[in-house]
Amino acid sequence: MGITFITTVKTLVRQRDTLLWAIAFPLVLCTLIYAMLGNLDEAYALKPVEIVVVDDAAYQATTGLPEMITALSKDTVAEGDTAIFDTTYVDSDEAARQALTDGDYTGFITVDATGQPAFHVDARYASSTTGTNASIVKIVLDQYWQTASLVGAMAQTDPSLFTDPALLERLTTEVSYTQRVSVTANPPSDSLAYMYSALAFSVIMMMSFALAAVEDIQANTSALGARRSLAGQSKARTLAPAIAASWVVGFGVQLVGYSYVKFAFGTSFGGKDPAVLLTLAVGVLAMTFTGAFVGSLPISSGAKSGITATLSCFLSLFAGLYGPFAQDLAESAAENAPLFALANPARQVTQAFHALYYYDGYQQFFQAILALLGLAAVFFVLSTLMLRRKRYASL
Amino acid sequence: MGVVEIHDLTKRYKELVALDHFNLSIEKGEVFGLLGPNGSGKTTAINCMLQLLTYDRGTIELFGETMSPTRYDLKRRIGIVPQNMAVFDTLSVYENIDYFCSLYVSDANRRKALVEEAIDFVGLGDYRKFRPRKLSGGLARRLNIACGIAHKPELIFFDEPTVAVDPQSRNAILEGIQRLNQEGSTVLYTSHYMEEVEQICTRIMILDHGQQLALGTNSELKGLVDIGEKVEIELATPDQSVVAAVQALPHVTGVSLEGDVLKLTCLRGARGVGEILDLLHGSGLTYGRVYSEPPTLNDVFLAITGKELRD
Repeated sequence: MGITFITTVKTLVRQRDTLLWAIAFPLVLCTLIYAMLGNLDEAYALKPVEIVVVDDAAYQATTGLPEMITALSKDTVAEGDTAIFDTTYVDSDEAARQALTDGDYTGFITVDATGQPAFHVDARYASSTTGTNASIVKIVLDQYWQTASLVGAMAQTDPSLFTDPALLERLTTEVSYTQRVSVTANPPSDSLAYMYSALAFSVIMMMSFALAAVEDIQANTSALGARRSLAGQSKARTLAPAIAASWVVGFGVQLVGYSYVKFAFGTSFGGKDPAVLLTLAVGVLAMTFTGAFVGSLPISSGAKSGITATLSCFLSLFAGLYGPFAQDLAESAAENAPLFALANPARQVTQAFHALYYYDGYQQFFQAILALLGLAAVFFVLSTLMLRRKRYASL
Repeated sequence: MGVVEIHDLTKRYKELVALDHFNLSIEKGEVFGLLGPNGSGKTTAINCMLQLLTYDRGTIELFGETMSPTRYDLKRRIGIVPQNMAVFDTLSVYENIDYFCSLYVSDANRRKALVEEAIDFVGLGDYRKFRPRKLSGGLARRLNIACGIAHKPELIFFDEPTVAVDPQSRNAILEGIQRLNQEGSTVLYTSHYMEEVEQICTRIMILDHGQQLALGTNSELKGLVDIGEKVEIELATPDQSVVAAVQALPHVTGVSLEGDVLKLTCLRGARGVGEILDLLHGSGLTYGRVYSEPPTLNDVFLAITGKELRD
C-alpha cells in the first residue's frame, strides 16, 4: 500500500496543470483581495491629527493645557495609550500660519489672554479629513476648557472643595456613558474575512485530486484502471492509499495558501492558527471524499469533470461565497432547508471559518468541524459502495 | 490438467453474443494464439478469464482452480499486457515498472532486482528515467510489456501487443515473447496479424463472432484447406484466353487475371508452377516475374468464413 500511496502522490503532484491551478487559485485570489482590501484596515485606523501649537507665554500660563497636549501627542503619549495629536510647536501666530502653508497640518492652537484655547483652520489648505480632524481637536479643547473653567470657579467660590478626594477624582477622570465592546473575537478586519472566504474557496476545489486518483483505479474508465484492477491485490488496498494521497496533496496545497496569506501578507488569525489548520485539514478531507464519490460514479470522465466544476460552483453559491446576494441566498436556504445546508461541505467550511472570525468560543466552530467529519464519513461509505464492484458487464 | 480450462463460456452484450459457448484449453509451456478479426471476442475472452467482465454462463479454471474476482492468489501468477497503453504518463519507465511489479511483489529488494531484469529484457536500459510520452511508439509498447512481465508470471496474456508498432520493434517483441516462453511462461497471444501468430504460436485458435472456427497447429490449420500453393505470374502480353486454358489444368483450383498478373491457386501435392509455365510457353506467351507461396492462415480464414481476416 505504501508504494501505491507514494505513486499516487507523485502522479498528482506531477499533473502540473491541475496542481498549478490548485495552488495558483488561492494565491491569486488572496493577492487580489490583499491588493483591493489591504488598505481598508489601514484606512479605518485612527491616525494622529497633525497640529501646530503656538507655545507662547499665554499657552504656558494655562493650567494643565500643555500637560494634556503632551500626554495626547504622538512622541510623548504614555505606553499603551492612543496618540491623538502629532504636535509641532512654534513660538508665534505668524510661524503657525507659515507652518500651515508649508506642511500638512489641520490647524493650529492658540491661547488668548483669558487662558481660553482656540483652534484655527485655514480653509485654503483644507482637505477631505480636515473637518473630522478639526472636530477631534475641538472636542479635546472643549473638554479641557470645561474642566478648567469648573476648577477656576470652584477655586474662587469655595477652595475647601479641593480637600475632598472623591470630588478631585471625579474632576480628573473622564466620564464615559457608553461601553466599548468588541463584537468579534479578533480586532475587526475586513480583509481577514475575505481571506477566510478565499481559503474556503480553495478547499472546495480540492475535489479534483481525489477525482483523478479514483478514476485511475477504475477498470471501466481507463486502460490503466483496468490493468490495476486485474492485479493481485484487493481494490481496498489500492483505494485506501490513493484517497490518503489525495488528501495529503490537497492539504499540502492548502498549507501553501495558508502560509502565503500568513507570511506574505502578514495576516493575523488572532492566535487561532491551529483551528484554521484543523479547518483546512478536515475541509480537505470532506472534499476529498466528495471527489472520490463523484469519481466512483458510473459515467464518463468528461461528465465527472463537469459535475465537479458544477458542484464546486453550486456548493459555493449556497455557502454564500459569491457576495451579499449569495449570503442572503445561503441564509435563506439554511432556514428553509437545514438538511441541505448541513450536507453542503462548502457551507460547513465557511461556517467553521466564520465561527473563528466572529466567536470567542469554539462551540460553533466544532459544530461545523463535526458536520464536515460526518459528511466525509457519508461520502466515504457512498464511494466505497460504488467502488466495491469488481466485475463489469462491459468496459 | 491445463493451465487454462474454459468450458461453455457465453458472454452477451445485450443482443450481441460476444462469446458463444466458447471452449479453450491451454497446456503449460504453450504459446497459444487466438487469431481473429477485430470484434471477434479475443479481448472479451481474456477479460472474462481475468474476472473483469461478468459472463452469462460457463466455467473458467486457471492453474486447475476455479477463477473468481477475489482469487488474488491466482491473479498473482498472471501477467497482463493489454492492447492499449496502460501506464502512468507522469511516472518514469523505472517508476512505472516498479509500481506494477509492486502489485504482485511486496519485497522491495526482490522487486528491485525484478525491475532491473525487466528493463534489460525489453531493452529500455537507456530510457529508465524517461516518461512514456518521451518514448517512441515501439519503446512505449516495450514499457507496456515490461509492466506486465516484471513479476515473472507463470501465465501471460498478450492482447495484441504489436498494434501500431514499427517492424523492428515488432520483431523485438515477438522474440521477447518466445524467450519468456523458453524461460517457462505459458503465453496466450491474441492478434489479428496472422504472420505473427504463425511465427510464434505452438497452437492456434481461429475465432470469429465469439465462436471457435478452427483449432490446431499452424500446419494442422493449413491442412484444413485444399490449397497447395498460390502462384502469381506477371505476363508480358496479358491475354484473357489464357485464363480458360490454365483453369483446364487438373491441379488448378482457381484462376484470375488482374491487370497483367495471372493469379491462381493449386491443389496440395500437385506439380504446380512447372506445368503452368509449360502451358504458357506452349501458348507463345512470355512472362516476367513468377511468385509462389504456400497457403496462409488468411486462406484458412477465407476458406472457412468466405471473407478476409482483415475485412
